[in-house]
Amino acid sequence: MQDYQHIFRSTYIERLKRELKTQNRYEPYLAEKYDFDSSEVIDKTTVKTDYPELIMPVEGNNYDLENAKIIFEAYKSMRPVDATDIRIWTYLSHVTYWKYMRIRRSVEKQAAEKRASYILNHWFIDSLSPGNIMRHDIAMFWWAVNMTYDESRKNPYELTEELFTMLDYTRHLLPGIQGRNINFTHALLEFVIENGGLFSKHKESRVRFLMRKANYLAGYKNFNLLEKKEIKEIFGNYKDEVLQVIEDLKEED
Amino acid sequence: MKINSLSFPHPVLGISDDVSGNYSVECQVELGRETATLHIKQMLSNKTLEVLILDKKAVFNVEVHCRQSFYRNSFLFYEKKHGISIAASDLLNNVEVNFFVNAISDITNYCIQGSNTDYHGYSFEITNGDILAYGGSVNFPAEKDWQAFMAVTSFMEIREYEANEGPVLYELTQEKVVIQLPKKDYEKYNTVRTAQYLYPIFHSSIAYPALLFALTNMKRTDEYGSSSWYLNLQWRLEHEPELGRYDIDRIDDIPKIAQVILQNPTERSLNAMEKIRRNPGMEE
Repeated sequence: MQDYQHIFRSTYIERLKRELKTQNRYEPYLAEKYDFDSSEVIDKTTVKTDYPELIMPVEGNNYDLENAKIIFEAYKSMRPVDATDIRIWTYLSHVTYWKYMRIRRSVEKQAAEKRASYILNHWFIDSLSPGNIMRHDIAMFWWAVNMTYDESRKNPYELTEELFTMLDYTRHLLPGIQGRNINFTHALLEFVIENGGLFSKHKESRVRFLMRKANYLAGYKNFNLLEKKEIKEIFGNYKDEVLQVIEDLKEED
Repeated sequence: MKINSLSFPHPVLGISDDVSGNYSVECQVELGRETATLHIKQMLSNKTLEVLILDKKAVFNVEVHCRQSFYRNSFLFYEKKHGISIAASDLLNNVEVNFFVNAISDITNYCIQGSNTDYHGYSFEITNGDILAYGGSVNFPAEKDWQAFMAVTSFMEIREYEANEGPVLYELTQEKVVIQLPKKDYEKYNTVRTAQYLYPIFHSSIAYPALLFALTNMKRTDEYGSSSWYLNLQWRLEHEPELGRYDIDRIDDIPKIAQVILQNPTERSLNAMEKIRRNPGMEE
């Protein structure tokens, strides 16, 4: 049964962030359960949810694609402006999906002096920006699907499935200025899918190469007035150069 | 988009002295609960570009970009006057609108009337999507709730800082103007903040000095120009009729501007105190 989305008050969130920044107070993030002040929880009446369960990460598999679909389906009718409310995502990472976050983002594995900043990066959205949203796993799940879900396709998650094959897409494409245009994002993902052979090796390097080329062209050309077909034709002009890219990159997290 | 610092591979009207002529845009923004509407009038005087638009080889491109809500879209027109409606639920805080003329087909041997003598004797190969003219940009704040946009809390908030006692501090670097109270004062504020009959007193004793500080700094520097509070106040200064007769560059006008925004806080505060004096046990 759907209920109003619980959220933390913004003043409470500011206090938690301040304690992390000024007192390095990361100990609560080592506990089995997050001890929060329930008087600081209010309802957001423009969003309803049934708080679905996520699949717990196991060694070698975070189930990002599966969990992204779960979150998106649960919050499918949420408006983008509501999805920018950092209070939603902060509540979900601290309460509803605390167990998931403890496994997915183990604070114990970080050096002591880096724990506070690690928590700020992944449990909070310190200031609202596309890059910070993508670093918060639960927020990233919703936004990544929102930008790639396409009901006109036989499999509406086809582009989402491509998106989650590589960290670069959520770290560089979606937060970047070009990626904010849905047409461009879809065109790039489709191009990679349709030219599977071109990207069967050195995929990260080759996709980054294409994104760099797009950024260069965007200096004097507006991609967002082009049709998807036209954008893919432009990418197609670089096939020979893409084939020359043979370095492998280490994925960052 | 820092377009004026870019070096284009062909002459662009509106960039440096590439091309003589004029391209500017008037844009009126109307913010409502459900939609943001842009009323646009394009003013272009360059024969080459006007003919290209008439022949539908070029187009007016209004690019709307809202970073915080992952929104970036182009709206294309051949007419000089047009309107655009965008769902308010797609936008949050700062929205940047850029105006271009773009090619929408490949153009070979492109020469533009009025190009700088540096380009004389040269022609260019233009491809679909290339920028041919830049007409500047406007910014406007898109608030989630139209009524909330007008409220004090849309551009100010109160927080505590670490010391038990001390002065009230103001921080302008955040999205809202942050009024920082020492712990003891913040605790007291928390016990009374929900009492609506005290709001006028909060406005005059807490919000008003903070607003004076913020407005003075708006006049002094544009360092905070990308903050939501700055855009909120700037928008109101430019669009609210009651503020139209004041000039933020005149130091004497700043207190008057603040009092209009807070709707005569001193008068309301005195009225509230009078009510409390007459009804000592009142709750609201």
